[in-house]
Amino acid sequence: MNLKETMNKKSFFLFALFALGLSACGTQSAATAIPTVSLDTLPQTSSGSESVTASGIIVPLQKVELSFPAGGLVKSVEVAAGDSVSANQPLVTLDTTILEARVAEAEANVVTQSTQLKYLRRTIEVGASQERIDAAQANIDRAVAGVDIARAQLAQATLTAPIDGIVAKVDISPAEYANPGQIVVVMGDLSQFQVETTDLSEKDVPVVNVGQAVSIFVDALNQEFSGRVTEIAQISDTVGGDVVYTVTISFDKQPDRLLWGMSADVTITTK
Amino acid sequence: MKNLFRTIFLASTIILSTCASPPTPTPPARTDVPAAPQMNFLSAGGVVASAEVVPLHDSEMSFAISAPVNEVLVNEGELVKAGQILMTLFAPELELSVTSAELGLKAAELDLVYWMPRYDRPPERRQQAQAETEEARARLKTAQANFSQTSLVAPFDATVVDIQIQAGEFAQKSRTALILGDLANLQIQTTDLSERDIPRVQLGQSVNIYVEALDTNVNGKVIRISPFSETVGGDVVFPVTIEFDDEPEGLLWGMTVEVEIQTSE
Repeated sequence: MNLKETMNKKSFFLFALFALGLSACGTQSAATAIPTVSLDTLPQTSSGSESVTASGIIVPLQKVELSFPAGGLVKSVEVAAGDSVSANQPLVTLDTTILEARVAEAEANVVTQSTQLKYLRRTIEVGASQERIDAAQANIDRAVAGVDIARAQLAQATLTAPIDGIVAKVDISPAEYANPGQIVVVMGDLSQFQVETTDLSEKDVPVVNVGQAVSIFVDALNQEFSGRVTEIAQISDTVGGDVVYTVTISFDKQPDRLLWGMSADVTITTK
Repeated sequence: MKNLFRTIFLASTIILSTCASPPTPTPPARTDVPAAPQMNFLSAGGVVASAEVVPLHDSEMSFAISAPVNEVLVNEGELVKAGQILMTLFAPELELSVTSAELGLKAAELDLVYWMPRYDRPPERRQQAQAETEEARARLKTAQANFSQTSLVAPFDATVVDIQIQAGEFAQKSRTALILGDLANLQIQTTDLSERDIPRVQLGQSVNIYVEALDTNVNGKVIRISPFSETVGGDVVFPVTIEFDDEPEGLLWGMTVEVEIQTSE
């Protein structure tokens, strides 16, 4: 065995060892990547079978995520998670000092403009022209519109409940800044729940139809319930690289003790 | 040959060490708390979870305008009262517009004084002077309100937990400048109570609390169950809030505790 041969053997050895090591690494990293979503791993979900299975979450029939249209500092938070609220009830209020001052300013402006018009109207016989009166009227209209704007902005500084329901989450505290569009309160009508699928693949969605019977297994309650497909999303979502469609399923009979966000496994009978 | 083995050995250790590192950063999120050896919960059958000490109220305070910080008036750890000014910004333009509005009001008032006795002139002139005075007064209020945005005011009695910006630094609108916590009223919030356990948890149930940092056991009770889930490492969990019957001394915001909720009663 000459030196060159030894070297060759040696490098082959090392190469094989590396390959082995790398493949071991490969399977390991693949194993950790999988748990995020387990789509179409079950053979019975492929088309041609009689049912489609998917994971889902329990959501209320009616839910709203509330935010302020304009930013501002939070003055007071009137509710906490779990509170029951009625429609139009104030939930969170911003600091309105500036907005209130602006309303007062706009209102004072209307008075000033009105005085001008009053004067012109009275002196029309002694030379005030119609054009000047029209201009004064336009100034009043503009001032009144200014009041409307200021009042509307003031109204926007109070977040009110759009529906009767229960506050699920409050994500802001007094003296914090609420950015425009930032979700500060999540609420819903927690008397009625439904299931929304989270991983029903595009491969399965063609065989799913509204009205199909569904068996719903709620993990947390360790119980199975019956339901029906009520809605199929018309646009897809992407979950971990897979194209999925949200399918909404209603319970035939509302189970007790459900909470928003619990997970469920659904089996949709497609034939 | 000896050399070859050494090379192989070295290579394999390198490979093994590289293999060993990937699994560590992804520890499986446990729904059940591993029973820590130092925990001494007596009863079985309750719901066990990890939890965190949190204040009843807290606020990540920020300014509604962007400007350099003029002065920080409090220190970390200081107790403050509701309404107390904690920090001010340097915004000369807002201060000057208050001065300008004050002078505007003064001018309008002088104008009013001039027009009031002028009965030889149309009455609308007097009314206009009055209206303009009102307007100037409202304008001053707006300017003052704008200027008030330069101070950070405590919304409730609390402790200054963290000051994130110093005098001279630029305070960005809506970015956290100072954190307040009501440390006189601490609570516990679970971080990993699984959806499988939540149906057994009810308001008012008593709780055994083990505070790791203080190595003490205290009692509490469930005062709130979040109606909305959170996802922790792929698991659906529901935060449960627990109140202390007697708050142990030395407790701090963020301490880890283990709780056992007595669900079998």
